[in-house]
Amino acid sequence: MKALKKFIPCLALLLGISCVAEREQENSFYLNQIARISISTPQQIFFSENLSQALPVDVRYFDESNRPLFTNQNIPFELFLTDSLIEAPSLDLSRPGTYRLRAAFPTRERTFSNDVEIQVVGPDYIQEIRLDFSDETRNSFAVADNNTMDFRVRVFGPEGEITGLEDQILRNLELQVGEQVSSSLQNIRIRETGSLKVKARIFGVESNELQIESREDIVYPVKEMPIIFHVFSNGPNISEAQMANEISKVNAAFANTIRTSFRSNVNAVNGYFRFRLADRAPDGSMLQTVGYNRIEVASDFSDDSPEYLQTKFDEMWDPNRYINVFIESIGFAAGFAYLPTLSEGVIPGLQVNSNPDPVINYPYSISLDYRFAIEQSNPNPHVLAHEMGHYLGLYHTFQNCGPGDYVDDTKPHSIDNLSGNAVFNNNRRSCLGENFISTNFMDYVVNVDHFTFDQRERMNAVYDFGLFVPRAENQTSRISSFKKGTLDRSIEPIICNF
Amino acid sequence: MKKAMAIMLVVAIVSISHQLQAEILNDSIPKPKKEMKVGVRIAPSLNFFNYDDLGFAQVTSDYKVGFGAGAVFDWKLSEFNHARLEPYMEIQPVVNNSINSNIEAVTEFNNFVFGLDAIPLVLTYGGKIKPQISFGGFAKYYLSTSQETTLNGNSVNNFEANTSSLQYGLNYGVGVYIGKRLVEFRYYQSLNDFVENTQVPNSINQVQLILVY
Repeated sequence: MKALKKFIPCLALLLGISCVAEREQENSFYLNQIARISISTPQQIFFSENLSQALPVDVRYFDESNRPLFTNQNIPFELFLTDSLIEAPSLDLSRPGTYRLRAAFPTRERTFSNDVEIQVVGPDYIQEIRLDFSDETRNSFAVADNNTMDFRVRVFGPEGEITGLEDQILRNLELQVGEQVSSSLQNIRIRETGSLKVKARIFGVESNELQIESREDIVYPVKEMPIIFHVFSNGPNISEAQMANEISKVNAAFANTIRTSFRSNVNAVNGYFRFRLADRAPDGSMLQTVGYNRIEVASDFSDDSPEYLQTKFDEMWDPNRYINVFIESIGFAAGFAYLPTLSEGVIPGLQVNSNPDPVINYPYSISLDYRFAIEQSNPNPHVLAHEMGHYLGLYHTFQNCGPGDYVDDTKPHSIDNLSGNAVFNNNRRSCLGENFISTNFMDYVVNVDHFTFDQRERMNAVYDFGLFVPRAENQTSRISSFKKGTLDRSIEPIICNF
Repeated sequence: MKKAMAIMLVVAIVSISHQLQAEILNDSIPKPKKEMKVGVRIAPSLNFFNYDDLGFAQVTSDYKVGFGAGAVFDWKLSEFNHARLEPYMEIQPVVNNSINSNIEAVTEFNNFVFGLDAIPLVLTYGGKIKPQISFGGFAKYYLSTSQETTLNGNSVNNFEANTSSLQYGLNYGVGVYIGKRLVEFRYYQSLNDFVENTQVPNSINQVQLILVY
């Protein structure tokens, strides 16, 4: 037994000293299935800067039969940048040059991926910088110190557009708007007035030049006009609450206090127009219900009746003192409105009647479809503001690609080729093929929030030079009653097929 | 090739031992007493893969502990030479690990094995306590096996390694007879791959501490 006690420790010692070994090669049956590795990176070109750039890499594994391995599993890999093992997928941008990126896995015989060529380039690589307005704030007109504008740049090299380097571009960008210099493309507030040149510089390389006409906003005296809602005895009725609501909305629209989820337009302005419900009848008596007039008609009266137009012409209250709004069942449109007539040709696109003693020969008024405009707010809650725009001389912003709406700071566009819901979509394409977001009250879009500076100028000119406009002085002074001529059926309203 | 060599080696060893026996039988000198003893063996074991990266009698730190039990038929052929035949059943766990420090890929096997060791050459010396060294061959056939692969602790479902049910190879032992009892460390060097069609050569090596009563 004594010998055994001596012998066993000797054996154990011998075993311990001579034998226990650590593994040195990757012998995992599971991981050694890797026969091929592929590596790709979305970005192969970087600008040289004095910093380190993360390299997003996508590494995939395949077996001998080229079947994907380890999908959705995190298999760590080694990265080689031009034969140097790097600890993290990052690139030292301070050293311009061309690098070779490879991934490897320490299988029994180390498996390498394909090579990806990575270039770190200097400013001389840039061939062109294209500066443009963002879609949402595209406009070459602006009101100084109003809302903000966004721009965008595209950088081109010998092999086309350089994408994916937005961070680098923004870090090294300078945007000049007039004398104002910014390091951002977003939320640029135009502070100067006049013709402003806009340029971007990236790594010192200059872009093309944009031009913005910037105007100083104008504060006008508020112009208040009374509205009379006419309902037909056989037609839909409008309640006092609905009338009040319509007045509230149209005032908010003209005061530039409506907001949508889109950016506020850089040309959006307060119109300084206010509207109220008329409180007196043309004969001076107080109205039983303010802003409300009921017209007795035959039970079969409709917009198809031969007497329809004549009835409206006859029943229209003095347009020098009231804005006449007929509540109807139009059916085919949310509303329509007649354009004004001017005493002088100061505004393009509108009729002129220079007769010193003019007579009115058309029912200068607004018509709203009760169901679409009042009940359903279809396509938006601001049909009355839209029709009021027509009433005050505005055309649709999508009028045509020729003279358009005669307003400079709205984008000329057309909806002729749009169908279905596209007609009401805020994403529009201009006559020049530029995408932009429209939120103008004079478009058909769902989200509307503004009239522009130039639209306001046009409406103010109509207020000043329009015949039969209920100007402020007409409300307080004694004026001779307006003269109705013979109805001219050839004068047609602008129908709004919302 | 390995398989053929191993078979030839085992056959040669058995053949030599039989020749020795025949010569002893034909000798006119008084015949040594030929004894056959039967014992019971129990054998805890260390099991580990050899990826063609091990030297002679090397044990690796990634071993798994198994256990076997069986019978021992021990022939005393001469004063200095024994021969043994040892059938046994064995639980043989073995693990295949990744060495990558960032990833833990583990494939574990659990085999239930019938094994047979044929040891024609057992050289002994001494009296009641006799050190001995042995050399022979073995064959093991698993009656059942199971495996599981995990990656960072999570089970992998789409990997199932094909395995060979037969292992065979050489064994070398060093130990001591204490009367009827035997204590021996025996190194088993398998000559065939256990996992088939893998990119990695592999065979299961083993160290058994054999206790015979």
